[in-house]
Amino acid sequence: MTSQRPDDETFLRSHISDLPRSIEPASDLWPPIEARLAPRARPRMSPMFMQLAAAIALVAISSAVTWYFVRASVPVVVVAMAPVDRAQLARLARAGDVMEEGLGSSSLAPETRAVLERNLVVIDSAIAESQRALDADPGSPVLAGLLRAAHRQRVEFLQQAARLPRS
Amino acid sequence: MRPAVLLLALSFPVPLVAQQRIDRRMAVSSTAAIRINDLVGMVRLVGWDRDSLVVVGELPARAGQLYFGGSPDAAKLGLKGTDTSSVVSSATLEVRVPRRARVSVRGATVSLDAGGLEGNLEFITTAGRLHLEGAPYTVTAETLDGNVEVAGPVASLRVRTAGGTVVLRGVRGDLSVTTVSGAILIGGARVARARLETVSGEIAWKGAIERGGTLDAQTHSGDIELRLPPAIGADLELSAPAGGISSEFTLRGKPGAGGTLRTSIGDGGAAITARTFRGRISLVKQPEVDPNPAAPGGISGTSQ
Repeated sequence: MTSQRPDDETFLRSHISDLPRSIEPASDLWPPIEARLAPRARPRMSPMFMQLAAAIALVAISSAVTWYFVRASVPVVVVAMAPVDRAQLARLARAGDVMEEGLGSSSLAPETRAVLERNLVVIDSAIAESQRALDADPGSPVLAGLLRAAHRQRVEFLQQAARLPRS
Repeated sequence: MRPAVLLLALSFPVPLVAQQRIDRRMAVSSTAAIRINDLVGMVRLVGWDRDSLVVVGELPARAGQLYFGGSPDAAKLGLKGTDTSSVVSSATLEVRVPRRARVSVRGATVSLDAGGLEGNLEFITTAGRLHLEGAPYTVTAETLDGNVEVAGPVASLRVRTAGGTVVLRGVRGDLSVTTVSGAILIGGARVARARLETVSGEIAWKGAIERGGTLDAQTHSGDIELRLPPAIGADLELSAPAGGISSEFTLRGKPGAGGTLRTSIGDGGAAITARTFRGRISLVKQPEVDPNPAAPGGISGTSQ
């Protein structure tokens, strides 16, 4: 290494004149750069922002599910004589799953979450029992109505949970 | 007292008073919208004949600070800065509102003891409970684990709880009650429409249904007991696939596919539907149902 000072003009000029006017970048240069840039490109969110985003998402999901069923005019009281509609049952089950996932990321107190889970177990047990009964008697409108009611109760319960005041 | 001891005693600061005395008042209109947020402990909500909103009582220091204000048509009060590390249950507040005010009460742990209201009441809580007497025009109550007790001819009542027990006496008009595991116990009712739904709780009904009205009771694993006036006319649809049906009324026909029995008693009129998967359905004649329509009835004999 030279002892010459880097701000010495003569030293700099002699070295600059040796440099090429332009350099073609190597063809394999971009992938490693991209790999190093990618993590920094992700916005960093604070825990409060994450909670807010989760709450907004939960409300949006709840509203969307409510809108869906209101639009679909699903009868909520007279269910016993309705024919078996497996597609509707599947939609109800999926709606409940989506809402439960949304609730999982929201900021609920541990004791509240415990109560929710305890009650979801009760509802899920009823759904499983009704499903088994319907599997054994697939044409029964009564069993289909009970199963549909259990799925709807799950959705409505999760909607209620989404409305709970946060302490 | 020795001077040294006195000096030592005076050198320690006097502890702050643990309770805050609350006394706030403002003028509001007779039908004002009043929002009460995040209160704690037991709140007594009273409807009175003055056009003013009053909050009096005591709050523990860790209950936070009361905010209070608004316009004559829309007022708001509540707590901020509450220490949420533990439940503050020792707060005692009384809120007085115009009888016909539209009141909304929300709070994670607040319980409500309400009376004298004639407007609309909405109560949404997580762990709190509701005790209401009187005849608000509409009541909406949602609680996750708390009990709900309402006595009075509420015109429109909607209750939703998961594990809480719901006890209603003397209700009128439209009724909707939903629970997950909590029992639904209703006495002295006379309704146009009632929808009672639970997953594992029992349903006990004692009351009348208006001619042309509907009663729909559904539970997955609980029993359903319907105590009805002997002279009632109703079209029945009863389903108890795994339980069974018993009746003090003469029921013509037998359960068909899926354990469903469709029949009528009297000259028909009201529509009664009851469904339970594992539970039993019982129809009982109840002569003393609702002897005085103006007074709340009782629920003796119908509880578990």
